[in-house]
Parts: sequence; C-alpha cells; structure tokens
Amino acid sequence: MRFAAWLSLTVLLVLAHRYDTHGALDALPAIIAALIGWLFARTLARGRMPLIARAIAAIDGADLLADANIARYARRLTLVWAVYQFILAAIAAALALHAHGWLALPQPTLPGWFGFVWLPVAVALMFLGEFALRPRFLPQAPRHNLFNFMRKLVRAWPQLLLDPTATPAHSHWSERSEGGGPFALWLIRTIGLRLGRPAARALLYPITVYFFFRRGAERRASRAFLSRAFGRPAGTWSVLRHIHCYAATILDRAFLLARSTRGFDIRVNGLDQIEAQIARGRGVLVLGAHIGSFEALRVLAEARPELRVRFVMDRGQTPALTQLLHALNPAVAQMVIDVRGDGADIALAIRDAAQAGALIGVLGDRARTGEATRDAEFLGAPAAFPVAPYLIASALELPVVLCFGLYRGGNRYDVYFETFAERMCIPRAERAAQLAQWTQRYAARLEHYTRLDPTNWFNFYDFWHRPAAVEPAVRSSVAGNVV
Amino acid sequence: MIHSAPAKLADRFVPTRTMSTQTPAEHELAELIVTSLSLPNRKAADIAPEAALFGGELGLDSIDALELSLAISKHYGVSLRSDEGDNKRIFASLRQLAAHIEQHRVPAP
Repeated sequence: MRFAAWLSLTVLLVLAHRYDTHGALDALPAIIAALIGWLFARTLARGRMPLIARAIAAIDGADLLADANIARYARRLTLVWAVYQFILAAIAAALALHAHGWLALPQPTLPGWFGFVWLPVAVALMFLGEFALRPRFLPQAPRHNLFNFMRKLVRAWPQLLLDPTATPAHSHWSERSEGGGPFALWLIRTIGLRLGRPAARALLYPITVYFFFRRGAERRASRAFLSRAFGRPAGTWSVLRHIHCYAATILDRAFLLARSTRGFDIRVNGLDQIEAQIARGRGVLVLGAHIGSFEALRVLAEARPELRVRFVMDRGQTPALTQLLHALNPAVAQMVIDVRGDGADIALAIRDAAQAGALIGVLGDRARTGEATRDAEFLGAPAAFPVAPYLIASALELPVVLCFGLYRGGNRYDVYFETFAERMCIPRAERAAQLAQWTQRYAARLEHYTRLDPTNWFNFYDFWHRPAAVEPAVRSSVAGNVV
Repeated sequence: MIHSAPAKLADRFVPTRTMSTQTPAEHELAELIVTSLSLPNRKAADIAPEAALFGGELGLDSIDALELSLAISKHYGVSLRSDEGDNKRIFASLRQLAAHIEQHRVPAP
C-alpha cells in the first residue's frame, strides 16, 4: 500500500512541475498499474489470503488450498503479479517522465501508446502465458477451458477484492463507516494541496473505481436513486459518474477550506435574497441538503468577512473527513454545532448564534435514527424529512433561506439562494398541518434542484426506506433526538 | 392522570403528594412552562417538582427546551447557557430548574 502510494506520489510530484492535464493523463497508466500491483501485494501481508488463493477458492472451491503445493503456487503467483504490475508501472512512469523532459531514455515510445496499448497487452500475455503453462507447473490443478475460466473470474473478481473477514454491510447510513478511510483522505490532502487540483483530480478516477467495487451498498443505492431520478434504469456508467461527482466535491471541499474560492468558477443565483435577510440582523437559518457542495456557502462568508456562520452537523458521521477539514482550516471547528451533543445544548447554541445575527447552516434532508419526521412526496414517493429545522426557526422567529450548491464539472459550481420563509412562525395548535406543508415545500424545492443534476445527490442509501416502527408524533419521546 | 414519572424505581411506590409539593417559586415556573409550551390538558399544579421534565411523562423535547429558555429569559432575565454542558442537570426537573433560576436571577428592583 505504501509503495503504490509513494510511487504515484513520485510520478505526480515530478509531472506536476509541468502542471498540465496532459501530464496527469500520462501519469494515469502508471497509477492504475501501481494500484493493481498494490491490490495483489497487500494480500501477501501476514494473516491475509493471497489474491490468487481467493480466486482459486472462488472458482474451484477452498478445498484445493489444502494442498500445500497449490497454496504455495497461489502465493508465488500473487507475488509475481504484484512485481509484474509494479515493473509495468515503473516503465509507464519512466515514459511519462521522458515525455515531459525529466528523463532521457534511449528508445522511448509515447507514454499514451505504452500506457493504453502495450501495457494492457503485456497484462493479457502474462495472463494467457500463466494459463497455458499452469498444467506444467501444477499438474494437480483442475483444467478449465479458457473461455469458462475467464467468465468465472470476471464473475468472481469483485469479491476477490473483499477481505473474507470483512464485516457485513449495515442497513442505515449512519452506521456505515466512511469510504476509503483516512488513507484516501490523506492522499487527497497531500497530493491535492501540494501538487494542485489537476494532479489530484487524476487520482479521482482510480478512487471512483475502487469505491464502485468496494462499496456495494452505496453502489446499489446510487443505481436505485439514479433510476428513479432519470425515470429509466441507470447504467454502470451513470453510477460511476455519480461516485466521481461525489469524490470530486469532497476533494474540492479541501480546496475551498484551505484556499478559499480561488481558482473556482462559482456562479451565485439569488444573492440578493439572502442579502436581504442578513440585512435584518436577526440571524438566518440557511437550509441545505446533502447535494453538491454546501461549502459553496463560503462564497458568502468571503464576500462579507464580518459575517458569522455556524454549521449544525454530525461530526461523528465522518470522523476522518471532519478531522481533515478541521486540520485544513482550524476556524471551521469553531463553526460547527455538533448534533451528537445534548439536545438542549444544541438548541441553545443555535439560539445564541441567531441572537448574534449569524447564518446557521442546517441540512434538512437526512433524518437521524429516532428523529421526529414528516412524510413528504419526493421524486414520486413519500420520504421522511426531519421537522426540527422548521420548529427551531419558528421558536426563534428566524427567516429561512434555501441554499443549494451544485457541482457542474470542471471547476464550476452553481449556488442557488432562495427565500423559503420571511419569518418562520408555526403556532403550536397548527403544528401538524404546518409541518406537513413546510416539509412538502422543502421536498418540492429539493426535487427541483436534484433534477437539475441527479449526480449531485449524495445520500448513498435508500432515502425512501422507513424503519419498521416510525413514531408519527412530532413530540419525540426521547429528549435530544429532535435536533 | 397520574402525574409522577419518577426517575427511580423505588419512587414509584411513593405517592407523589406526600413526596413533595411545589414551592411558590416552583409553582410560578410551572405556570410559565404550561403557558409558554401550551401543554394540552395539563395544570401547573400537576407538575411534580422532582419528576423528569424531559423524556418522562411530561415528555418535553429539545425544541421545548429552546422555547422554555426563551420564555425564562424573558420572564426572569436568566439566560441558560449552551456551553456550560450541565443543561441536562438544570433541565432535569422543575425543582432543579427553579433552583437554577433562583441562583442566577437578578434581584428585582
């Protein structure tokens, strides 16, 4: 793992001096080969099952591995594949460096020619060669015809990447750990901020593919959501674009936090609407969703440095990401009101922020377990939306402004502000009816912005799923769960 | 309606009236709670001083805490802080809340 990472880093480090997208494209074959090499190499670690052994277990059954010769062969072949991929990665890297004048080679080919033609051919030859010679090395191995063998391998290979000891998928999003883990985020930070956005964005492609294969639950949720949004079955390409969009906005969060909006093309719509509410000086509840980038709200903070902004968010949901973002910009930590605290404390912290005239950012789409919700029609079916934002705004008599920041590819973001309520006021006697209305209005606006670009939807779980027992009452039985 | 939601199991067998009655200050606060939260079918005198305000039979939630804090600061001039971390204790019961207000209240002119 370290080796692959350092190799990619070295390649990018040198290429980044040239700093063009072409350099990143030339580096891509080297990165992919190194990553594949790493996929093999990491299974050789102590206590893990070598990748080839997993393939044998998947195709011919784990019993075969009881034969010491077969087990040894599997281990050695895994090692050979890892070394082979690393060598190919090194050649691809050398050619890329040569093309950019950083290395003089006697008889070089174009990096693209090697990377996209010779490298795949070399991998295919290795595969076929091993297949042909296997009966010689290992007479006891079961014979397959090539076509059937490849078919079984293709069918089994996503599982090969999973550790047999891996934990099963959880049903609720809040129980899922964040994808990629601290390592990927470290990679984003190191490569991204040292070498620049183009270099880091080249890495998003392998990261997207990795996420696609490693995160089955999210992959299925993405496909189901896109199919619903498009009104037709969504293909693998759409799912990959969806994951890529998500990864791209997470990367950009690092840039937005560390370097502000420099280098981004952020187009703001409805700025006058939120400006008008800010001017009243009583605090504004800014209601967003897990779509695109809420960080784009920072364009406001930059235009008006005196403006105070607080975000109500769940620090515990993505600890590594939160930690990274805080490290990039320590001021952010001060801005967060953590929803995992005591309910009364959260409510009072929001009150304090409102009384100081701050913007209070809340995401209104996800309900935490046990949180009071109302059903509203969203993309053709009822989904549960939390009611706390409206009740809080009502208690504090706050204006509510919607804010959605959509990622539009490249370095472009479209930010939309829209006045939702001049002054939220929900009398207790009319609570039920009013909450039904407000959640439905929010769901309708969310649907409008989601339809502008469904790949900006970042709730990678079954949004319409409801737990078996939903408490319909607004008054939650457990204090602290409403916020 | 039974008006006790005791925190401890042992309290369940003790009749509420004999356990404790509201002091005048507690009664004033209970009135404020009932009016500001417009609790349905509930009289101020019914709130047992030591029963849990949140989660218990009264079943207040964090939105109620917010509204109550606004009402308290308006009525008593006492601001409940968000950063002290002991709101759980302060909001534990009518008695605790009344004691906290009494402690922090600016003496009337």
